[in-house]
Amino acid sequence: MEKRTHGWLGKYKELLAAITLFLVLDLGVLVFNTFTSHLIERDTALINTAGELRVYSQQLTKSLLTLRQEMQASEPIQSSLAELGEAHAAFTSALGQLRQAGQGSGLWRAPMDSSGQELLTQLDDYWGPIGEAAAPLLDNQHPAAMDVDGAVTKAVSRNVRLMQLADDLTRHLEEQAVSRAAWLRYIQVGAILLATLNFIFIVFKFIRRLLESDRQAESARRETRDILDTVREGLFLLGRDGRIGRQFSRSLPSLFGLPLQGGQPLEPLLQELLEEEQHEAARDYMDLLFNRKVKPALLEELNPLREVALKTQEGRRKGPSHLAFEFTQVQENGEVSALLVTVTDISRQMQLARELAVTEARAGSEVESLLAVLDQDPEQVRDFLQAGDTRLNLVNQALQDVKPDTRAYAELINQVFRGVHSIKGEAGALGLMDISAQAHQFEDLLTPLRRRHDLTGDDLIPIAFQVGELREKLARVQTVLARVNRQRQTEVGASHPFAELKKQIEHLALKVAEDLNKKVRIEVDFPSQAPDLDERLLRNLREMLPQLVRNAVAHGIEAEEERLQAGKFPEGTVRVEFLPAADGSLSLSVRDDGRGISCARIRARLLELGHTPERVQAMSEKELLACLFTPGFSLLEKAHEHAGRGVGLDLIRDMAARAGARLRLSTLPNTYTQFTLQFQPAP
Amino acid sequence: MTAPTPIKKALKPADVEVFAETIGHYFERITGEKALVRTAYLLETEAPPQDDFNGMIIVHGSYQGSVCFAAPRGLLTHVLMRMGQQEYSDADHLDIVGEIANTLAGRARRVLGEGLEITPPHTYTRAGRALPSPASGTPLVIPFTWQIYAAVLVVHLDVLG
Amino acid sequence: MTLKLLIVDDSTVIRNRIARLCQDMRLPCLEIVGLAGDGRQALALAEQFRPQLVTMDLTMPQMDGDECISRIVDRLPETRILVVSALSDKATALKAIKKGAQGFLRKPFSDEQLVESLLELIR
Repeated sequence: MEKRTHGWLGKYKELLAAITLFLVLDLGVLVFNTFTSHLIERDTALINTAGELRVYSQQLTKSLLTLRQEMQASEPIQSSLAELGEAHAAFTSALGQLRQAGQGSGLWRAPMDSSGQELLTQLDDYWGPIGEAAAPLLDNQHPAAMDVDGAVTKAVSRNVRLMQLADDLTRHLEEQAVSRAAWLRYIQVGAILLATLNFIFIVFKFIRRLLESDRQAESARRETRDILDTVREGLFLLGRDGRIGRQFSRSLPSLFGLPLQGGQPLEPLLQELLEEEQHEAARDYMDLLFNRKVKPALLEELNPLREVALKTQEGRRKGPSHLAFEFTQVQENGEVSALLVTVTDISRQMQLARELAVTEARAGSEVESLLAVLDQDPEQVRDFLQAGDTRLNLVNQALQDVKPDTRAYAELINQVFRGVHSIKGEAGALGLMDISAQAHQFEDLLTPLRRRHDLTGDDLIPIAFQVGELREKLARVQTVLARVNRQRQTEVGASHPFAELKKQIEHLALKVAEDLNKKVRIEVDFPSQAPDLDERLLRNLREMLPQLVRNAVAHGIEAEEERLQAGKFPEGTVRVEFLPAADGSLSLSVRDDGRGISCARIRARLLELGHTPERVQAMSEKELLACLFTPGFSLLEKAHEHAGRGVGLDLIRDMAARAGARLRLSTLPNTYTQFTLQFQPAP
Repeated sequence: MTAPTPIKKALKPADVEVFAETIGHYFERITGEKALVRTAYLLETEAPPQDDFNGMIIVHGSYQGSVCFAAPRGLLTHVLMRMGQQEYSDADHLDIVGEIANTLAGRARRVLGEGLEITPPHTYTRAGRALPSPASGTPLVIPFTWQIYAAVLVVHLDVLG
Repeated sequence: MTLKLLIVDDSTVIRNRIARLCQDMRLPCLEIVGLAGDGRQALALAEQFRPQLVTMDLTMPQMDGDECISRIVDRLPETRILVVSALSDKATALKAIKKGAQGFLRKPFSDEQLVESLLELIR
């Protein structure tokens, strides 16, 4: 602020000096005027005084003559004596004044010039004898006639000359006054002239400066205008009040595809241009730019409008399909006073990028993705594939079990989104870009659905498709991984197949439990000395065991609260036991200490499915349990997000049948459920 | 933009939606009430879901595979009733499920291509057997609801280039 | 002084990766006090251990990261939160920053990026 004042002073220093000078001059003229009038007054007084000398001289002469005549006629002489005294005193005083003025000094008493002085001396000389001759007559009531005669003679003989001298002095003083007055006038005029010149100087200087700054401002404005008229980018300033600045680049309206006026609020424009979600993000972002102390790098990263697709509005709005917005903070006194917004049309780039991405995705990324597996920790990739598979199975299961109402659909979509989102994140972390891209595409499908409140079953068809696509991508990586593993195993020496299976199902159980927010302990009891199992049996085990374990965790074990209410430990237990019998048969059991299967519930479901009450009531417990294994039968338990026991049981039954194993189910409500697979000895 | 033509293209959701629509409209036309898609999911088991009555078509050509509609007796009985039938024998039910499969075939030819070779509907009861599907991918199951009943459409198609 | 770190992500893979990186890399000043798979767990752990740092996923079951951040900021205003999330979550990330998270790391991230983001948060 201080600096600015200083600068301002600097800029106008010249003007200030000129104005000061002008004032000083004016003041000088004023003072000089006062002085001049004083001088003229004094000069006038002197001239008067000089003029009076003549009168007094005349008066004195006349009074002397009267006195002599009265004395001769012996008349009273008092009045002529008094007249004489007055005239004498007046003459002496006037002469004294003149003499004083003649000798005077100082500002107010300009000395009389030499010829004036000379006249005065002559006057004095002429007056001297008269004064002396008259002196004895004063203060004397009976002057001597001889004295009077002497004074008369002197006065008469000198009066004419004296009067002449007084006249001369008067004239001289008048001349002097006139010439002095002329001089003073010249000085006055000169000073006023100077002041006027000064004034003119100020006016000119000032106007020139104003014109100059106007010209500069205009040229700056024109430059800005030129820039704003020619740039392809949309440029504008956004004020704290959310309004677009008065000046913006000419391209802006065509970029927005909307008519535009300076000072218009940006908000409704964005609303027209952007999808609701992005619009909201943009609002949040600008709020952040204006108000929060966030690191610039982070701000840049967070810009939600860096690449943005505009609403098409059924082709009503003309203009680009994609825009890029860049925001720069304009700071003033450490505060963000405005945002400089740059808008670029990136429709073409986006289209190119899309085309390129599609081509690349077709050509390269699948191979890349598969190769990327080799760089990763196989353990992690396996974990990911298993988790991904589990997630997709859960999604598919949820799809299969969903109830036909909009709320359930909406919940389902969210659940699917979470699953897919996790897969995408993990795939990205492991560099499996093909999978992550597929998941991304899936998300793109889900995002608009998440906003809708009128979902129907038809909307789920593309979702099921995407599940298939994603699963296929995972399977491909799985295949590569399996081959790599086989190679590694033959290199290292095959590890025990049981150990791997054990690890796998432990992991699976914990994963499913975690997804469902349950607490589960898994106990896997495999014989340390594994029997020689043929490849086929091992494959069957690998297929069935995860299904059974998943079922046990997902459907058998209750949620923590439910368990606590039922008086159980919060942590559920799933026990997997694999027992080779002496006769060569094998038994595999999976037992959970969960809620068991309630026949009442199966009955209720059968009634829901349209079976007659008589028939349902007549069914034995065994028959009821058997229903669980019929394809498509599912118990929709409304309390449970991943509802539907019996899900996948038909699958297990099929697999068991193919493997030639017997499948047994035993359960006690609120206590346990156990599935046992009995494998016959190989012939 | 020209993309390399893959030997096997993925089936598009729209292809399946065509079949789902056909079922929905069939019920609407006959009974005045649309059959609603409840959901869609991938078939995990090898054996496709069967019901009391099943009608299936096998497709060869640029698309290859099977489309199957399975419905419970009660649902089909309703349809028969609305059509003015007096008798509700198994044969009648098989007839009607066959006709639905036929409708699917007609629609398939119109939408997926006239060059498709489509078998006459194969119908069977719960005791019967499905024909093996020539497709290799994962079948998609689309369950329907109509009043209290549930039926399923199983689409198992590969797209050949 | 060691800083207590809570890792929140619904993906085990990501959770373990962050944990492993913090242990392996040059971040001996961090002590991992908990791994949470959803918002509810995260909140419980945060209240129990009062961590100075939290890495937070946004899309999670039970309670979204968004909501979780609000609550953590509410109860532990000193705690600094690093949002670790995918690009598609930008709008959500913005909300999270508005609600009081200090950093944002985009998934997928490299080891270096994670370390950098955490160091940035500590500074």
